[in-house]
Amino acid sequence: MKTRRLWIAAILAVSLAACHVRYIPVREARFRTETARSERLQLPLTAGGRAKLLGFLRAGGDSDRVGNTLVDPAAETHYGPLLDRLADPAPLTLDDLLEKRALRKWLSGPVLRQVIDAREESPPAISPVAVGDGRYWWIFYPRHKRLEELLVTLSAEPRKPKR
Amino acid sequence: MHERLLASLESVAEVRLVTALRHEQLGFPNGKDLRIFIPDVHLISEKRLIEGEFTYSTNHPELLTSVVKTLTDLRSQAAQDETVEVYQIGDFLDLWREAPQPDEPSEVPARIKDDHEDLITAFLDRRLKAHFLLGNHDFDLYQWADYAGWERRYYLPDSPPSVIVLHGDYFDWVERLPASIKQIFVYLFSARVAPNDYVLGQMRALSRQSHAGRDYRRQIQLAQAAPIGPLRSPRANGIPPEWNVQREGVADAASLTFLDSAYQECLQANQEFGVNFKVAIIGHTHHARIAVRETAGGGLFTLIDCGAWIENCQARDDADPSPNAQIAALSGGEARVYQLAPKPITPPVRVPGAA
Repeated sequence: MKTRRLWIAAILAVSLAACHVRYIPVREARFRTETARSERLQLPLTAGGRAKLLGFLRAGGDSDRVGNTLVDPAAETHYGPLLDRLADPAPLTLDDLLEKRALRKWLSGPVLRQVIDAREESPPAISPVAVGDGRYWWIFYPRHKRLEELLVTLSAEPRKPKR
Repeated sequence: MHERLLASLESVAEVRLVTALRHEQLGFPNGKDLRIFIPDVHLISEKRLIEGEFTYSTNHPELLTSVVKTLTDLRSQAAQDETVEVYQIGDFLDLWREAPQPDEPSEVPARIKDDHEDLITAFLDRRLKAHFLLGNHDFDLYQWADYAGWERRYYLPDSPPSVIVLHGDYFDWVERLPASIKQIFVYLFSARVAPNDYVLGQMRALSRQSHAGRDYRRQIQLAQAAPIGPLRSPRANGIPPEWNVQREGVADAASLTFLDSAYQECLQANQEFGVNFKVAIIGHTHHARIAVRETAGGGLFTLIDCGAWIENCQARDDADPSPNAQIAALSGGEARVYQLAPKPITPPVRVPGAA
């Protein structure tokens, strides 16, 4: 009887997880790469954009620490090749991201199209693409199927220790 | 305000009048209040259009984009004491044709929108502030955050309402599944009740039931072009009080589809909920028309079916069917439905002696 209850509980848990509609919140200014929308990173990344993004990642995704306190010494090693790809003049497309998963090597987490950004007046007409890497959400903004802008924000999900 | 709308439409399209009704019992007498209704668009992605082997797609998307942009200008230019509101009345995105398996994730609508960026951006322009209804082909949008503002019905004007705007699939259920809809009726027609999860679940189940086993490769609603009667220029000799209005005893059955159901539901709502609905505005059937019938008290009940931007219509005097491309408007006690078409491309004028 007990085993049966456990099975039912397990099936219910899996079903609920499957039904859960997921969306990504854009975090507070401190935990994202821009304060205002006008500061959004342009793609391909310029040298300045690359440096800004790397600074944010080195600071562990906390703008208060950018340029004064190092949190992630491995950021350049870990994210450098991804930033190089994002700085490549060959434009990235929606197809690259969604179908070809061209950034999977670095961004292997889930891909979601619902981003809640409470700064905006209304939901976006064309949904951005959010790709997770476990710690950050990389939010790409397409225009006519080209990825033109990028916002990186710290994940809001509770961090769970790996077992 | 009908004239200003007409001028706007004529700036981007060839415009013919499908039907018009000017009547004191139409309600909605305010001549400075213009409501515009854009019916079923049924967008799907380009990839799905090919993979699904659909033999038809949304009609004139570029024209529709231009129309929506010109409506945005019209709204932006309205005076302080004027109202211009635009309603897309359901089946804007066609989730059912895009993803035949239910419970597809939120990526499905995003995928459709990716392929129609200009049109989507025009519709969602914040200067337009368009209102959206959920249809039976995009009902599942209700569960996702981006579509939180999309509803199943609107009442016009805001106080006291005399017009109910709904997609129209409800009347399918009324006629086919009358036992299943009591709670849904209360939600749709009572101006005091918001939907709870149970009612939404019921509607979702009915929606799915109505799609089950249907093959949409060749048609959604129409095996043949919808007969829309004689069209006329909206400019020639003014518009009479009634043009091409469908009446019981005269019109064919197809032209009266849902008229009795809509009347009975509105009558019941008027009696039970103290409202006074005289007009129901719908899409869903892809058959543009205005149909009227006498009420029990000798008044007039009006059903305005706004048509569609998919599948075809057949005007009485045209040799061939035309792609459905309709838009309806209500203002100053007058309702109109227009059929639009792209303007013919005029060849450039040759200047003698020019290279």
